[in-house]
Amino acid sequence: MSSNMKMDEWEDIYNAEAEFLYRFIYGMVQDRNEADDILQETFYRAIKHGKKGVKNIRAYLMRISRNIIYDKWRRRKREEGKAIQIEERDTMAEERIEIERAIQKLSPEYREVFILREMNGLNYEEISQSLNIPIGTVKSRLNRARLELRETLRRKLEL
Amino acid sequence: MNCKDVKKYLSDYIDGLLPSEMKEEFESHLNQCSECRSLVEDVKAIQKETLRIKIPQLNPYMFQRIKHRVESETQPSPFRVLYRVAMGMSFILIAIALSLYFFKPSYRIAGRSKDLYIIKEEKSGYQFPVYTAEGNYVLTSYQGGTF
Repeated sequence: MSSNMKMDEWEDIYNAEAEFLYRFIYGMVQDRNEADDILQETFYRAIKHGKKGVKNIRAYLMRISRNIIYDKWRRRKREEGKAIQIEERDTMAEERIEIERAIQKLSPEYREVFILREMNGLNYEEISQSLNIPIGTVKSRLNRARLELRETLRRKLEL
Repeated sequence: MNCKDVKKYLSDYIDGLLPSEMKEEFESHLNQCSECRSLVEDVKAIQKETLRIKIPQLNPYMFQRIKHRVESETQPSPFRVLYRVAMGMSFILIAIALSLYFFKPSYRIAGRSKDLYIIKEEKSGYQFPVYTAEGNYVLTSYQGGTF
């Protein structure tokens, strides 16, 4: 396969999946520039490694983007300390609504399930396939995420 | 169904996945329990708020940037070509030096007289004379060794 044909094929995949993926990535990091970088890096790595043997391209791209996000967080935690990330987000978020802050405070495992369900609109089966976790885990994480968010937002939003 | 069950099946109820019988029990409990009713209403409100989060528009040139990055790495730069040539030549020179070191001819003195030495190359059996001048060796060293 020539490299042009290969790139054409990847362009089709990009057109089909980028928006979905970007929604998820932005939901996780809530920063436009960072989300742009992660999306670009995700497709770059996918194209470099190829998709031989990949059955579910969306799950494959999700796995790559999650690895990048988690690596960034690990690196940031090592470099700056856990508290700084939350503090920074709080001080820079005047214009942001409380719900974005509350989502940001969810643990990453709960956050990704919540975002895929509420922002990407996936059903449990699709979330399970995208994250490669059992449906039971999807259910319990989503339930806990909703309960935690409710606790955090209860007073702030005067729900 | 009690309050604990409501927390357990909250997501199933919200996402419409409860079987009809359980759903009836769930709702029957909600009618009796204001705390659980409030919980369900809050979670539904959060759902609505979440949908209001604005996702920035995707950069329309994003794929071009990715494509450019991939292609610029697959086409070698002039420096990379130069580097490869230099590396290749280094390997050739090292190979020549090693072959000269390991495959040097071995000689021995096969005979001598007053004026000359007969030198023999071991592998080929080739012999040649080396003359001395007035009893001193003209040739004190040769390729592969010394007298």
